[in-house]
Amino acid sequence: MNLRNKIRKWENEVKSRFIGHEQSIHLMIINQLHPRSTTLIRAPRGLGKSTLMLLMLKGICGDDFVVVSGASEVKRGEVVGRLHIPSLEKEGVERVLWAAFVKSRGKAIDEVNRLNPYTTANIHHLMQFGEVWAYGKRARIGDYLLVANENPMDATSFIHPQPFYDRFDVCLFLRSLTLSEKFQLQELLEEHDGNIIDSMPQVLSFEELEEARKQVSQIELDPDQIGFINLIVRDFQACIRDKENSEIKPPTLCEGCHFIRDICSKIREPLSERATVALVHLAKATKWLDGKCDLEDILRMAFWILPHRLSLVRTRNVPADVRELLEAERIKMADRDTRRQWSILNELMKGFDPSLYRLAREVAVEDVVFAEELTKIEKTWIRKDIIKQDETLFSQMDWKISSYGDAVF
Amino acid sequence: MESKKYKEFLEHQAGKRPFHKNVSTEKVIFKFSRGKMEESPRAESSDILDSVLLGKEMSQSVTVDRRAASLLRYRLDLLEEENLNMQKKIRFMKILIILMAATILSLSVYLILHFT
Repeated sequence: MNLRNKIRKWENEVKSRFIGHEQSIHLMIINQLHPRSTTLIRAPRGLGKSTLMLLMLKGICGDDFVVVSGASEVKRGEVVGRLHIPSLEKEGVERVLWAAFVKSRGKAIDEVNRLNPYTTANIHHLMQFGEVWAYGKRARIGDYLLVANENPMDATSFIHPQPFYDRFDVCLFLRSLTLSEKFQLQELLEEHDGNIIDSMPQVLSFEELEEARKQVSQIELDPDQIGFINLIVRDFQACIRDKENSEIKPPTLCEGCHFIRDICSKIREPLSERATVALVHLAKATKWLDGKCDLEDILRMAFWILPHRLSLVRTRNVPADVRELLEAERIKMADRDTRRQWSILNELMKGFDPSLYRLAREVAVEDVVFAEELTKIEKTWIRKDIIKQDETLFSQMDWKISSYGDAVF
Repeated sequence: MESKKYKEFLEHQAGKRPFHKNVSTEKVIFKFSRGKMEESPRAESSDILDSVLLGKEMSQSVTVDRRAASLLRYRLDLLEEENLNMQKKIRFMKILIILMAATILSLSVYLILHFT
């Protein structure tokens, strides 16, 4: 059986034991196909967060994985490492016994929201630098897969910093089962004597997963795919009023802004560049496993990389809000096609053309991402004395451009 | 320095969605692919009855012939007539409600006075 088929078997084994959520499981499998993959499952209590997490890990690691539970009292020694007392007493040497969680390649964190800030900081460092420190000693962490879950509605939650959640590649949401799905679950429980997790076989080894990850990393995305990924992320970042560095945030910042109806006005804290990395990984893995990855696939996958990274101006229901934003993004992409704006930009990059420039300025007032790129070209034209500073789009629209540092605006 | 892949993306998009410039008028004209042309509404006119009765999509121009116009007028007359009938019914119901309310009120007054 080749690697792709083994990965599909892993997916099917999980799907056959976890009712509903077919798309989420597929995405979860796709997300495991890059080194140091991290997955966060979010759901209210009792919807199968831990079950899904354990099924995924059992499929690769068998029983050789470690679960750290935020619900129990987690000490540093259990997550990172502890001092080897006999070495200290007999030899006067500080030796560290690294925790099983550090050494294991299958890592699970149950109830992340209940982890104390110190444990969170250690795991954050592990995910960021691929290493852990204890008693002045460092341990490098090899490749792994980490699956975590949390119930954000839990009253006993710690509020973890946004950069910690940003380290998770994707965030999945689980829902309660429909009537017919409840019947399916009952049959499944009867079939496996009430223990679904124990029935999950190890489908492939970690070495095979590493090989699959290697093959996925060699996949090349075409310019359109990379372009769409970068456009989606940029649309969720761009702000003509530099919200990234502003102390005043939307919606106050957006008062009187030309782009008040755009996606940017609905986002309080923009995406990090890790969103691009995560989406590129997913696109490559989809191309490797499913044989294709078009704009629809990229937009669908974006749904899972956004919720834990974005902070919205108005939050009612996170998945529904994100879906609404992605629908707006789809319309924006179609508008861009109709306006032929990338074709216009392509021509303008070759040289100044007055009629195309007029057209580009009209486009720029509709699209902040295009406006940024046009500004860069305008700067080169100013340097070459083709246009004057007060003739530029930003001067005439009275948008503020920072002349310091590398800021675009 | 621009990224090579960024340039490739722009060139690829330009190839997919081309435009050309009229040299004499300096006007930029967008080109449409054959597929899109076929998808777009037909250039010839369509009958209004097809869209009203059969729910077909209208073309750029819509024609109304004498028969269609008289049919539409006939249907409008029917609707007007039905509208008048409904108004009459509503007026009758209003009067009936007022009469019933007055009866209930007078009956209650009579009962209160009679039993106190």
